[in-house]
Amino acid sequence: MPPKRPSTTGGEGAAAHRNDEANRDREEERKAKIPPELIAKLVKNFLEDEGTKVSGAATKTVGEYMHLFLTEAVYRAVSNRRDGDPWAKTTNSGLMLEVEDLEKISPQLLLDF
Amino acid sequence: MSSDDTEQERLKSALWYHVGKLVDEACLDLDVNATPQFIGSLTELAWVQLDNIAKDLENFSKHANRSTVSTADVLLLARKNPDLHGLLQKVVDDEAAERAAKAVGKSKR
Repeated sequence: MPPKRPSTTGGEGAAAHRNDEANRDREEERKAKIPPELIAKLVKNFLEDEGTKVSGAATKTVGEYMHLFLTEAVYRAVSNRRDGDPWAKTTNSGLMLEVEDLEKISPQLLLDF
Repeated sequence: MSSDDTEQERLKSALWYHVGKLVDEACLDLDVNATPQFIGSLTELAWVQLDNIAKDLENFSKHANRSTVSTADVLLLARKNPDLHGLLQKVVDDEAAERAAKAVGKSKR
């Protein structure tokens, strides 16, 4: 089992892990995806007309849309706390995202989506 | 309509669970933590957003005289955000290519 969190101490081990990670990146992203079945049910739940159907490809695209929406929300929340640099890892550790952080970024987020 | 309400609650719980997983993953990448309240609020936001886009999609497809929501409708959602449109277009293209490849494979068999 590879460690979930990339170690910050390892030398070559960390480098090898990073390479590995790049390969696995896509796969892992897929793993955390909202299942299309759930998306289909949610969308159907909100439709007003019983007769409206949703194609499989459309459901998948909505899934990707929601994935981007949610990920973007987290990144913007961090970015907002870190003055525009979500990757300032050294200062990130221990940062807790609060509801306030979401409140600050949600208006622009909703305008962009 | 209490049965409808329970169904809504169950759907929201399912969404909550998956939002939580997604947020945890993003947080690992950024080396931050999110409070459960953050995840709860984000779920609420996603819920409202889904409500909005589902109704948009329905109206888009109706406007095109269709009763089935297609990928073209989803792409229309992102019309005001070129970057988002590009990303979704890529997903749609990949999906179409995958389907085409599968169709070729099937016809050859």
